[in-house]
Amino acid sequence: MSEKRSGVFGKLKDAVKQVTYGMALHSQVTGVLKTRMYIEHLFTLMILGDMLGLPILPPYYSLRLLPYTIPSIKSWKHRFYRERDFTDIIYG
Amino acid sequence: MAIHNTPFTLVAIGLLIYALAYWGYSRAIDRKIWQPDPARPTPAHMYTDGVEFFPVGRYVLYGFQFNSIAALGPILGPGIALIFGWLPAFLWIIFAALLIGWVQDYSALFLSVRNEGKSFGPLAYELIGPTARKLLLGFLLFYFLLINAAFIFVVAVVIDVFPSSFWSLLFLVAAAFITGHLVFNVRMNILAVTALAIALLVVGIVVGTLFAWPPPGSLTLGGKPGSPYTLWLVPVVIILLLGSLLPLPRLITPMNYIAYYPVIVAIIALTVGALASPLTGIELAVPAFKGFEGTFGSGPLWPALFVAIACGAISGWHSLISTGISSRQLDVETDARPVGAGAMLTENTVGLTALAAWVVLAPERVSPVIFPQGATKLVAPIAGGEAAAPFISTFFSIYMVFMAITILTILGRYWRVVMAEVFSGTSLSILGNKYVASVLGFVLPIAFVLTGSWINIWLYFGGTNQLLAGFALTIVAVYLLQQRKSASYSLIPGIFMMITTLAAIAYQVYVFTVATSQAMLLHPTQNILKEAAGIGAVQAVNGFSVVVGVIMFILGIAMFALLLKALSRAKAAAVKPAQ
Repeated sequence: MSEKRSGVFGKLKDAVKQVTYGMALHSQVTGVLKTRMYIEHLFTLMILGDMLGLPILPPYYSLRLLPYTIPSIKSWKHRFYRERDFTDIIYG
Repeated sequence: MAIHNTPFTLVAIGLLIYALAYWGYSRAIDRKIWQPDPARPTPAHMYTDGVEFFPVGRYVLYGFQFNSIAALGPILGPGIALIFGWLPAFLWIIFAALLIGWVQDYSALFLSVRNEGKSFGPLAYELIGPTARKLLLGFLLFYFLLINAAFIFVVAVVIDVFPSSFWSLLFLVAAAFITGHLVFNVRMNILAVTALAIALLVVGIVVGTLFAWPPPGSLTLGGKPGSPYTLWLVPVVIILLLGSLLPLPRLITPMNYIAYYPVIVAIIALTVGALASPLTGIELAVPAFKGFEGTFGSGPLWPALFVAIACGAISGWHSLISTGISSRQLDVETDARPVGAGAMLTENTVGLTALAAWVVLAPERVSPVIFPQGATKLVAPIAGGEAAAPFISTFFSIYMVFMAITILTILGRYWRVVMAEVFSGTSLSILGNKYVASVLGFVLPIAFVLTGSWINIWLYFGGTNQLLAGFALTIVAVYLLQQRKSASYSLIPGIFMMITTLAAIAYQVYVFTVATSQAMLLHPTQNILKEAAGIGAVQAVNGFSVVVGVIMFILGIAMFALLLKALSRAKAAAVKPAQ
C-alpha cells in the first residue's frame, strides 16, 4: 500500500483506499499467490523428487535447475510438513 | 407522515444499537476476556510464507472479511421472517447484532489466532476430539448442498421474473473472461481494466433492461412467472460448472472482483434510501406483528425466526472464514475486534437495510422476487424516479444474482475438493472425480429446488448454517474454560443456537415427512412434476429432503453431545492461562 498520510482527511482517504482494496482485490491477490505457490511447489518437487524417492527428472537436469528452486525451498518445507485440513481450502 | 412508520426508524435505531455493540459490549469482552496484547506475535508473523500467512493492515483485512462473509443470507432472510411481522424480524436482527453475531466471528478469529492460525477442522479435533472432525466433514458436505440449493433456487426465480438480469449476468461472465485475460495474460493496468469491466456491466444493465427478453415466465414449465421449474436453471448450472472447473484466474477471480462494484453500490443505495424515507414518503407496509403461529411450512416463531434471517444475524460460514483465512493475516491481536466484530456488524447493517426494502411492500406470498421490487420502491425516489425504476429494478435483481453466483462458484470448487478428499482411495473414488463431483454439486441441489418451496429450503439452509455457528461458539467456550476464563458470553448463545437450530431442522424434517407420507404437494408448483411424472416423483423429491434433513439432524445431535462432553472435560481439567 502507499505510504501513510497525515491529517484526518489523509487518514480517512488511506482507510477508504485500504478497505476498498481489501473488499475488491485482497482475496484475488491471495488466490493468485496460491496458484503461483502451487506451481512453484510442483517445480520444487520435480527438482528435489530424487531425494524423496520420486525420480521425476534425471539428476543432471535437477542439478542444473536447483538454483532456481532454492528461494522457495523454505516455504515448500513449511507447507509440506504442515497438517492440511478440508477447512483450510475454502478459497483454493 | 409519521416518521416512526418509515424504514428510517428501523435503520436509525439499528445503527445506534450496532454502535453500542461495537464501542460498548465488544470492547468490554475484548479487554476482559481475550486481553489482546499488541506485542504478542500473531500467526501471520510466526509462520510468514507470503501466501497464506502474512500480516495485513486492519482496514484491508476488515474489507476482506466483510466481502468474504457477505452473501444472500442477510438480503433474503428478513423476507421470510416477515411471516411473523416486521417487529420480530427487527428485534432479532438487533438482538443478535448486539449479543451473538459479532461474538462468533470475533471469538472464532481470536481462538484461531491464539492457536497457531488453525482452521475450524483442526480446532475441532484438538478441543473436542477426532470424531468431531469427521462429523464436521460430513456436516459441511450436506451444508454445501443446502446452500447451493437455496441460492440456485433464488437465482432461477429471480431470472425468471427479471429476464433482464440473465443478460446482465452474461455481460458479467464476458467481462470476467476479458478482465482475466487482460490482467493475467496481457498484464494491462488494473485501473484501465476496471473501467472497461464497469463499462461492460453498465452496458449489461442497459441492454438487459431494454432487451428484457423473453417475457417473464416464458421459460417456466407451466408458464407462471417466479416458479423454480424453469429452463433458466440450465444456463445457470452451466455457468456454475465453468466457474467450478476453470482455473481461478480465468473466471472466478475476475468475476468476484467485478461483482464487488455493483454490490457495494447496492448496499450504499439501500442505506441512503432507507435513511431518506421520511423525505421520500415511503412507509412500512407490513404489519408489525402477525402472530406466533406462522404457517405450516415455516412452523412457529420459535425456532423459525431465529434461523430465517441467517447471516443478517449470525452465520456459521463466518467462522470458517475467520479461522481458516483472516486469522493467518492478522497483524496484531488488537486488530481482531475491528476485523471480526466490525465486519460482522457491517453485515448486520446489510441485513437491516434489506429488511427496510422488504417492509415497504405487502405481498400475498413471500418470494425472493419481492426484494428487488421493494428495493426499487425504496431507492427510485432518490435515483431518478419512475423513469429510472426499470433500470433500478434490473440493478437490484442482478445484485441478488451476483451475490449468489459469486459464492456458488467458490462453493462449487470447495465441494469438489472435499468430495475428492472424502472419496479418493475408496471404492467410490469416481465420486471424487472433478467432473463428476462438480456436476453432483449443482445437480443434487436441484432435487431440493423441485420441492418448489423456497421457505422450507431456506429454513433448512438457515438451520444448518446457524447450527455451525452454535458449534463455533461452543468450541470457543471449551477453549475459554480450559484457560480458566469466563465463557458464558459465548456459551449461552452457543447452546441457544444449537437447541434452536436442531428444533428448526427437526420441524422441517416433519414438514417434508408429512408431505411425503401423505402424498401432499409442498407448493402448488409441484403440480408440474405431478402431471409430468406422477405423484411418486413428487414423493421422491420430498423424500430426498427428508433423508438429508435426518442426516443433518443426527450429525447435529452427535456433535452437540460431543461438545457437551468436551465442556465438562474442560471444566474439570482447566489449566492456568499462559503468561
